[in-house]
Amino acid sequence: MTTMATESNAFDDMPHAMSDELMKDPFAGYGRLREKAPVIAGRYLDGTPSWFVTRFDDVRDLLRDRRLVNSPTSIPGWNEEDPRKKFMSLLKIPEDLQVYMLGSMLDCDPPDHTRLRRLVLRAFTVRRIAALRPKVEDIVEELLNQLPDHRSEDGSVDLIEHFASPLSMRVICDLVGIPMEDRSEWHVWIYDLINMRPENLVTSFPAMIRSTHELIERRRVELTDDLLSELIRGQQDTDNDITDVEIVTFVITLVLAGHETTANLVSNGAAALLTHPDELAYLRSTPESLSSAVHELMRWCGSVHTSRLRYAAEDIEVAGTLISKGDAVLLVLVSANFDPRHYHNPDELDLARHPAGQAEDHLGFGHGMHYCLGASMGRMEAEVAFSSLFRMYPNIALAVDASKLEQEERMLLPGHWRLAHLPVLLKNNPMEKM
Amino acid sequence: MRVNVDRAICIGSGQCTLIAPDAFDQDSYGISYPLRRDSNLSTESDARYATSIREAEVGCPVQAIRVTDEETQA
Repeated sequence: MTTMATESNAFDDMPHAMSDELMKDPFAGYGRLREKAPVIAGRYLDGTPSWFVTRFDDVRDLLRDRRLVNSPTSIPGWNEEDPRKKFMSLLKIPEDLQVYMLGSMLDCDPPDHTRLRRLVLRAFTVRRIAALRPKVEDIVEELLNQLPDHRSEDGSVDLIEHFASPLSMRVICDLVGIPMEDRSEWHVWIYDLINMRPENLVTSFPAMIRSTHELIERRRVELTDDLLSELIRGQQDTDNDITDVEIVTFVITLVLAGHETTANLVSNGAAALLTHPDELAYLRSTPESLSSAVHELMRWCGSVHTSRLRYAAEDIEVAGTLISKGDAVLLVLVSANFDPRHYHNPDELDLARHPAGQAEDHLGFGHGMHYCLGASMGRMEAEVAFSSLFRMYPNIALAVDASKLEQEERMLLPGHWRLAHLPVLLKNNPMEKM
Repeated sequence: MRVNVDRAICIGSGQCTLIAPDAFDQDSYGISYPLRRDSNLSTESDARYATSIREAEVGCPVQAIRVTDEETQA
C-alpha cells in the first residue's frame, strides 16, 4: 500500500490537469496514466494534490461510492476553510457570491442534494423529454433551413455558431424560462464560466446573478408553465424550503449544464461522424441504431472528461492505494471510457457497440447520484440533430482538414472537450418543404 | 421473481424505464416504480421480461433496484 505524501514537493513531478499533455490530447495523456496505474497522484486546476482514478471499474464504483463527497464540508469533523473557496477567489468570484456556485446540486451531498435534485426532477423524466421532442425537431429544422444564409465568403458555415450552440441554448432556455431578450447575454455569461477567465467573470458572474434575481421577481407576478415558475410555486409549499438564492443557483447550473455539454456533444459528434464515413454510412442505412450511436458518441467524444473534484469522507482503499480521509479525488471519465480492460478496441468509433435494451455501458453521463440530470434530454437533442442534419444535407463535409480542425479549433480546457468552430460545406440546398 | 425499487435513493435517471419500459415507470415526481412487483416466470416472454429487469438492475446509477429470484405467492 502507498499513501499520499503530505509534503507538497512529492507532487512536483506529478501529472497536472492543466498541463498541455493532459489538455491537448486527454485521450493519450490520461490513457498513459491509466496504463501506468489505476490510481495516480496528480494535481488539479490550482495545483491541489489529487488522486487521479483512471480505470473503468474503479471509476464506475467510485462514482456511486457514498464515501466520496462533492463538498469537503460534508466530511465528518471538517473544520477547515472550504478549499474550493480559494479557487473561487482565483476566478475573482467575490466571497458573498460564492454560494451561488458552491450551493449547486453538483457541489453538494445528501440530504441537500436529494432535496434539490427532486425539486427539478419531474421536468426531466423520460415522458416529459419525449413530449419535448416535436418542439426540438421544429427548432432543428428551422436552424438547418437557415444554414445556407450563414455561409461565409469561402462557402463554409460554422456548425457550432449556427446550429449546435443555438439549438441547445433555445431548448434549455425555453425549458427553464429565460426570456428571448436575455439570451444573448446568457450566451456570453456561460462562455465566460466555461472558459474560467477571471477578467470576464469579475463582471459577468454578478451580472447573471442580478439578472436572475430580477427575473424571479418579474415571473413571481405572472407564473407560466416553465421550470422557473415551477420552482417559484414550490416556495409556497412548506415542505420545499427553496430560497431565492437556491433558485438563482439552479437557473445558472441548468443553463450552463444544459447548453454547453449538449452543444459540445452535437459538435463533437458531428465532427466524429464526418471523419468516419463508414460509421456515418452505417447510421444512415440503419436509422434504428440512432440511439445506440449517440451512446457511442458520448463514450468516444462526449464533452465532459473528468468528474468534479471529490473528497474522501473516510479512508478508502482503491486498487491497493490508500486514499486518506480528506484527500481530493478526480475520477477520470475519459480514460475509463477508453479502458481496454473493459472495451474491445476502445479507440475505434463503433456505432453498433451499445445494443438497445442494455444497461448504459459508458461513463459519459457519469454514474451514481450525480448522474447527469439532463441525460435523456441531451441524448434526444443529439438524436434529432444528427438525423435531421444528415437527412437535409446528405453531402455535408468538413471545410477543413480533420487534423487542422483538431489543431486550430480544439480548445484547451481541463476536463472539457470542446471545439471553438466547426466549419462545414453544405454542398447542397436544404430539401424544399412540400 | 420479486422487483423492488428503493424510492428513497432513486435519483430519477429514467434508466430503468428506458431499458425495461414494460417493467418500470416514473411517477409524476420522476421517481421510478416497478409495474409488477411480483411475477412467476414461465413463458418465453417472461424470460425476456426477466432479462430486461436484470439489465435495469445493473444499469441503475444508484443501485436502487433489487431483484430477487424468490418464489412469490399472490
